[in-house]
Amino acid sequence: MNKDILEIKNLNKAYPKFNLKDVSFTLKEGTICGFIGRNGAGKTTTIKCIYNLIKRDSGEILYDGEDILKIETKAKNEIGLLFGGVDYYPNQKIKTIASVTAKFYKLWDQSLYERLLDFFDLNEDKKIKQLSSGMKVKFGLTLALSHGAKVLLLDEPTSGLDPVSRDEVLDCFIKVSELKLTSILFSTHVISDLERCADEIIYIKNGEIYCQSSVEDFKANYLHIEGLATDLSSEQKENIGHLSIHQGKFFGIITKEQKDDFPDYVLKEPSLEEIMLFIERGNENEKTPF
Amino acid sequence: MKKLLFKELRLCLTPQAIVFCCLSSLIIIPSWPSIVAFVYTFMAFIVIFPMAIANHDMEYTAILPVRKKDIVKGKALLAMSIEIISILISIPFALIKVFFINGSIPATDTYSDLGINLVLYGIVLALSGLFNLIFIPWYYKNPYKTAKPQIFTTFLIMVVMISIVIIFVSIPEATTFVNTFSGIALIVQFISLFAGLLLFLGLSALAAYLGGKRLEKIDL
Repeated sequence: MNKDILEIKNLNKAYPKFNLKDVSFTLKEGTICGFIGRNGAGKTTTIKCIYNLIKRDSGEILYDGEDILKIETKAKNEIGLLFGGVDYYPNQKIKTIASVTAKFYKLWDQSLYERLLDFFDLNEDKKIKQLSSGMKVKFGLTLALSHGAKVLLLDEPTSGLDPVSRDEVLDCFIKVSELKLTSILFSTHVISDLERCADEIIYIKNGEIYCQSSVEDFKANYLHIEGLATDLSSEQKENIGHLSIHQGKFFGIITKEQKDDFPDYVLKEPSLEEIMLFIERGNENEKTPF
Repeated sequence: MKKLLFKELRLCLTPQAIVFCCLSSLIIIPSWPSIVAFVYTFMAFIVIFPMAIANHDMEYTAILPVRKKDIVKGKALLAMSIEIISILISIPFALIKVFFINGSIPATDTYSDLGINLVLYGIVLALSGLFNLIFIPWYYKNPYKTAKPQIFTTFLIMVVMISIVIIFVSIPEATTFVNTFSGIALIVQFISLFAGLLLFLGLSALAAYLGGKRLEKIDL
């Protein structure tokens, strides 16, 4: 059983129009954990609190069993952090930023850094402003992966990447997690990324943790349902989440407990995206601005 | 500390700031109040801090393995480096003025001034410390806005400099005393320099401490 490398206990942070409320979860050594929720649900705020970029109001954040604030430098040496792409010092070259960054890390691996540059097809002589948004993400990942981090906190690391690059990045996550026991917490809106590589899901909704579980357990609570729309009673329609009717067929999501209420329909394992839509939109099937 | 200073010098020290540092060479201008040459040093910060904001320097430094409050130490070290570089640049020009220029000007064409001596450098060091103490903690109250603390602190330092010039112009005996390089006057010069250095280091350290306390409360 892998130990908990990161423990968040009852984390609270209040803003005038938003609160993180008693956020608690754990990140196990060597696991890849998807951190999902809608825009503004509190993912970035939570990640910033963990790294002490945002001052928490209350709660505990333990890194390897110790209060992260008491071992801030050590913890930051062992945690890699990335918010989207690199957007600092646009007029500096990649090699300049890398050389400065390398000085700060005890376990900077220059050879790995060079391999990652090569893998991501990054030219060290390019300035940051000359990189595409996808390349900026790749450079940020290169920096985050090159210092032997035990934990990676990645806020939307795959946004702006083309499908091939995204696949390469997710491959990197799987390899680094398996080979180096690196734990990865990454937030994303590309839910298919989670299906590809996540071991666990942490779902945050309106500043509160909705659930933390393995991807399989999370999916096991829901079922994708489809069939002929004409067969559906109005009561059944109300009980199906994220219901869409198209060309006489309907598709939707139900919970495992509702299974017996729909005996004559096709039931399948749902995608994570369908479940997310069900959790967020529930049975508000008619809600539309048109 | 060394790593932070390296980062500041490599990424934040702009060529414009170095030009401002070099303006301390204006100390060479004959019959010109020597202390005024150092006011340009503080103008360097008018370039450096807004550039740091534009370059998302804080966001970059914050993800490095340093304590949040130590981010301020980096900037304080940069400020101190600029002030020291400016002083060092002025020294050869000051010596040229003392040994080759001042003697060639008739006494009637010069006026009482603080002159070039160890007291001058002691005062410049103390003023640099004062600048850091006011500017740095004020800036880190809201590190995304730099105009108010910069304008106020630079203006204050200019007022203090002008006051010092007025004092020495008004009391020629004071000028004579601080420009005497023997006996008790020389001891006073060394004490002034040492006191200035202590104030510079102490006030700058306090500035970094107070700035760090303020930054800890800021959400980045």
